[in-house]
Amino acid sequence: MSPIDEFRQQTRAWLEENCPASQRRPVVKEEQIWAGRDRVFATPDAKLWFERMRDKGWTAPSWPTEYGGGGLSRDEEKVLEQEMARLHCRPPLYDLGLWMLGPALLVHGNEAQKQEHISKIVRGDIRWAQGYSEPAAGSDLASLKTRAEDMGDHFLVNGTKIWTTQADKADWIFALVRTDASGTKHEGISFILIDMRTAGVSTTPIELISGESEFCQTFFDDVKVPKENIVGGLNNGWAVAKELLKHERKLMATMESIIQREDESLVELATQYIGMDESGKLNDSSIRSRITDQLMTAEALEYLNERLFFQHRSKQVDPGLPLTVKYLGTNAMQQKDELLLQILGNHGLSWQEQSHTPREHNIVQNWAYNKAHTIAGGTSEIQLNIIAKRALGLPA
Amino acid sequence: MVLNEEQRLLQSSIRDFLNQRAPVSALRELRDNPTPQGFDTSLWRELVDLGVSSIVLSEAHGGFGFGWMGLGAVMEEIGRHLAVTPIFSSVVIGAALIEAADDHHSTEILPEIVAGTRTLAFACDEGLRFNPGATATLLNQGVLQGEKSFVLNGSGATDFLVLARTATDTKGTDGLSLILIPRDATGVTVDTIHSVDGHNFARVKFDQVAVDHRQFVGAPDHAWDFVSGVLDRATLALAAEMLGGARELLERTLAYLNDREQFDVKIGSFQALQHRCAQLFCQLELAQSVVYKGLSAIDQGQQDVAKLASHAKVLAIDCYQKMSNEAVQMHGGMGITDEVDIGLFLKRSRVCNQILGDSSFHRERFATLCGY
Repeated sequence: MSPIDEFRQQTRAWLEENCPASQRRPVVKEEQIWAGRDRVFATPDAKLWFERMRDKGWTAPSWPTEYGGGGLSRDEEKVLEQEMARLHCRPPLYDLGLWMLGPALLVHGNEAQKQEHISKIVRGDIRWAQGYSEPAAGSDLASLKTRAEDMGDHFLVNGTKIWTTQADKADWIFALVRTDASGTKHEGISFILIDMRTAGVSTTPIELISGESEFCQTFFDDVKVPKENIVGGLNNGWAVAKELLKHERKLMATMESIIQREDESLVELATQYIGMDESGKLNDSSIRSRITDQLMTAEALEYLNERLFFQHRSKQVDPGLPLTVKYLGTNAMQQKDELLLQILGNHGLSWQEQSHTPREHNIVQNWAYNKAHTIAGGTSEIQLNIIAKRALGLPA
Repeated sequence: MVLNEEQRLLQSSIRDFLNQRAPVSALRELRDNPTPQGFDTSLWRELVDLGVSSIVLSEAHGGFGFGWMGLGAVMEEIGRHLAVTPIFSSVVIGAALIEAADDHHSTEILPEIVAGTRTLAFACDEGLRFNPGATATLLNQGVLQGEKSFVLNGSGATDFLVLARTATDTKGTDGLSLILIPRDATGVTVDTIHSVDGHNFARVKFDQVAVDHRQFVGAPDHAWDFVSGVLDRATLALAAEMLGGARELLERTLAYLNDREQFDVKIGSFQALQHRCAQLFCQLELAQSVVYKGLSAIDQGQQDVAKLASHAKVLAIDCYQKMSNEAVQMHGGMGITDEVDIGLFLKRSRVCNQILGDSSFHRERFATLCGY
């Protein structure tokens, strides 16, 4: 047996033994295991599952073992993903630090920063928020104005960040701040880590069209930050930000599998709400045709991701491919949401939780919430700009 | 789902060869001065010498082990150059059908196909579009009667592989047989049709053609059992050809946008055009991923690629059609002239749409295979 097959066999056996049955169903929002100082588990099984995965380093399977990661190769990580998918295992940990900051820190952080932060991310001890956008700096992110002033032994941060996901629940925030205003706007930006408990940090949740408040506005008023909290060097924040954005885009495109929506089968839902004729075809030919569009796009995206995996492995990555994944993946998710809503008919219209089944309520809420995905992490239009210039070589 | 070293070398050698020997101007030459065979026989001779006539066959039958990913790479180049050759009808379908039937024809005629001395044409479509379940051509008591409406390489083939109904009282794809009919058999009439894309096909009439049992390819009445799998694989190869054409169009259009100036700037700097190009690129890479998935599934020994074949054909149709329309539009007035090649790709895409099933056919099939 080849080493990778052996690894698969061991992984399968370990998961079967260690993943509690209750953690093998699609996860509902309330039961997601979010990192943090005040981490809570919805059930004892969730706690057990998290701890077992954490102790193997499999909350961050491919990160180096010296920082508590799993140390798996790319192929082994893929096998773990496949085996987890086979058993429908829930993700053992949810955190922006895990998805975005960690990978960037492994590239740009110094040894002390890696020692300090990476293992806490792997262990789910800290919940991270992201401070990028500002009220006046969205797509034009580099025009950001939040300042970090050098006070000799510390930086003094002043300004505000917006769309900071769950900042009201976060322990730390990674943020882009201006440390030099003299050069071009991309110069003079630094990437800084701030403890949310520091005096002068405050957050206000923003009510969204989905009825939730996932995002906050975060304010910094004379916040003192140690100088060693700059990552990647002073005025070099844009390079770190770009590294991190790669992971954010990947995350946005694969959000669906992370969220593990319970309503995942369009065909099943359509069969239930629309019905089939005696020949086994859905009763609504237009919806049937749109389901074909949707399935063809969704399955093709899986193949695109698979192809990208093989390109990474053979070290021949087409520069445009990672960008297409974000653009296409977020669009496809929204198309699916629209289709789900249409399938529900007037059951997709009520805004009162008690007049819906939980599944119906989820579909409506997700439909509204997922409008964020073509905006966050660089709008679809920004993705197209970058593809046109970087992958297609069109002039600026 | 990526080409290996040998497959990449194969692709670049075929590309170099076609750049030299069969650029798009060769299609114009053939369109304006047609040959009786419908293709350039010396070009085909040279391609045979390069080994393409055995590419889908097992190594026992002269294949080189390039696999279907390797074939896909060759088909992409065919699509990029709009090269007119019998590779699709005679090799990808014809030779593969003979090999899949696995009977006396394998030893009798496969070597001649590989040598390029015999070329085959698959005679299937009867009405306006591909629908093998509606086959009405009938072989009854040793006599074949019927008419085939869209036979690729019909003018150049030495033999036809005819899909015919042999079991009366059957419907759909049950009761079909595959029959080898020499072109010069009594009762065979071939009408060459010059098609919109500068290629050609034939209408072939079989009138009281005598058939003996040695002409059956594979088991009588159950041909669909092996024909369908061969056609699925051929559909994936066709999709690869189509995406080769689409990719060539994208590259030519980008070059034009980087060259043409209006309002004192390159028109490629306009965001309206940049976004459309970027969307076309995304659509192309998405379709390409399905084609690679299908071709590599065959190489990994997956027996049933029906769903992947239909999936790939639909996305390839949508992609090539959209790409060709946009390429014409972005080339402005030049796009609608015959002087520029863009229109030739536009026309080719619409012909490819009809080969082995159009979008409606494959969407319906995909839905049925998915169970809704």
